[in-house]
Amino acid sequence: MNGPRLISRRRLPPRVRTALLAALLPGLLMIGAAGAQYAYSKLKLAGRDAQATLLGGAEYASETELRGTLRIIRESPYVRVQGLGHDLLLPIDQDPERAASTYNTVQLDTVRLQARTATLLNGELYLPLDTLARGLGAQYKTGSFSLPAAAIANVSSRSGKDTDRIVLDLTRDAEVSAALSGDVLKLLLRGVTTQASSYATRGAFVPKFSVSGGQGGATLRVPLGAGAGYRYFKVVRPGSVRLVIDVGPGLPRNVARLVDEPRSPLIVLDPAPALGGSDLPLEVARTTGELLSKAGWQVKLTRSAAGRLSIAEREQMARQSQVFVTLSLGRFPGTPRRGLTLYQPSGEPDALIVSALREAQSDPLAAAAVGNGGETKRLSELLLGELGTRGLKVATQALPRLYLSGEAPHAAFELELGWPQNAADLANLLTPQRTAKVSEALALSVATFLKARLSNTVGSDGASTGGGP
Amino acid sequence: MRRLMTPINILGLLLLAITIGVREVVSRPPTAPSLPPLQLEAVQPQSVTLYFSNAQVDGYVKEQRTLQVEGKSPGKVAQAQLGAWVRGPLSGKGLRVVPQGSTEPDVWVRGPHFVVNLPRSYAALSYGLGGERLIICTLTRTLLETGGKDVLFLVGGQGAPTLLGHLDLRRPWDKVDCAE
Repeated sequence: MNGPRLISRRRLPPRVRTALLAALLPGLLMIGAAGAQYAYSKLKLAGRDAQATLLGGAEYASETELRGTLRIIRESPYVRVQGLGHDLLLPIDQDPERAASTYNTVQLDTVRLQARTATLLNGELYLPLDTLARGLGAQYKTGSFSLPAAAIANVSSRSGKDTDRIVLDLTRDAEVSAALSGDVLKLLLRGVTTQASSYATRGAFVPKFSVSGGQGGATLRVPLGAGAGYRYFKVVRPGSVRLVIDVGPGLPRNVARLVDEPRSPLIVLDPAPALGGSDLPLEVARTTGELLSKAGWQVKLTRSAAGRLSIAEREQMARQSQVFVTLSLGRFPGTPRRGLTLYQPSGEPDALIVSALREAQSDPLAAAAVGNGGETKRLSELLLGELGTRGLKVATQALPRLYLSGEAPHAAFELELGWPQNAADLANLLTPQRTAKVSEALALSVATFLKARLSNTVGSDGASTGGGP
Repeated sequence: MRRLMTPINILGLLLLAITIGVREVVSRPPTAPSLPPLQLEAVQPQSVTLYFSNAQVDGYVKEQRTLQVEGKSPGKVAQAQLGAWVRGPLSGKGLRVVPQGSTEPDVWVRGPHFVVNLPRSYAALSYGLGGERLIICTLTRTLLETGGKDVLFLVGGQGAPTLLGHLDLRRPWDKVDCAE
């Protein structure tokens, strides 16, 4: 006899079991088929190891793998792929099998054709390598997707009536940036290799130019004649890219405003409120401002006899300045201190934008926007020298967390003119000779500093066109 | 005749008595709560270091002081330190940083961070850069002497970019900002 059954198992009726199996089988088959739709393979992508996904017999690469090489922008239901001077528009087909067929229409630059298109696998975007290679002019065979080396293949020039033209044939597109240093136009072609050589032309506006290679890329140097401007543009063709540079008197000189700013620098003098009877900071600021203005420099004061600008307005002016000088008097109960003190900002400035741009000094525009911190030191040394020759001794102190000097992107410091609570200092401060000495020294050092900065930043031409005493 | 004292009747009677008793208890007016006895924290001597200005207004003078502090909470110790800081140095060559009779700043402690509320009257002190730095830095050094990470300054209960126009108060100050 059998023992008691603890669990009763009820068998499903045969007809129900058959129906259940019939319903499950297609699902299992579909899962198996879906799993078998794609496989992974090794891919050499622009010289590095990557992973390709085989989909419908074609190799696909994920957006993550391609992002370092190409610019991929999802504009659902399309994806835009930019690189090597080309612009591709691929529809995103949700059905991977259909995406891997030539059912879809893709747009490669201005050409529309039937080709494999992008698809989504587990939510990630995948792009067909053969279509990308076709659109970008890249070299592709199974397991290897490589970009042609960027190089200058040919250099030619043509003289014209109104403009002279220089043409550089590149093997592929490269990033181009222009900078004007004095009368020399410098075009940097990032990542492009070339042999250094000079060229002579028959043109009236560009008699000669040179091409040189370097670590960052190739540099084209074109001396611009007096009054001549320039323009450049690219002609992208399948397999090659042409960079065209026109130079002539009818064209504008595109000088970035930041680069041009040293030609008309803003000097801000910030006299602190008067302490006690004398308003020495305002007197010195006015005299210095007059001396600089007469010599053609642009000077603004943050205070007049009527009142002082608000702290927000002063902060704004500090940010716009090329030179920012606060003039103040010392006061503290019970101290015997006397004399002049120059306070220089030290450490990281509180303005994050200033810190960030100071770290990006390799960029010419960033360097023009924010000085590297050495400007304050140079101007301070000039001022100390000028005051020294006038018999005035100055103590110096570097302090962190200065408010307005920290906001100023270029040269900035605070000059403490003395301590009126000290009888000996007060006697000195009240003499007009002392005011004149300090003002002259400050004006001369600021002007000398700005002239030197102008010639360093804009080149020799800048020094002759800029104002200054 | 049926029996009157059956077990059920006795049980019912007991329940009725309990119910009446409970109703009586819960219907009573609540007793007025009495105030908890006042327990003052013990005033204990606390050894602290206070920072004041040196004669040239470009450095610090330290002074060891024993303060009577009620309790040991960091907030009360910090507040006592600021009270002593306002009253100025008792010995040595240090200079009082704010004028005699000035209002004492308030201080709050949140973990390793101090928040100091400077009275609005401090913004009217006509000090130069050195003086402003000494106000901020002697407070910072005093509060961070035994621990803590930084000190955030408010002026008149509100965040202010600066106190007297020379120094930046938008970020908290730490010991590195106030190095000798």
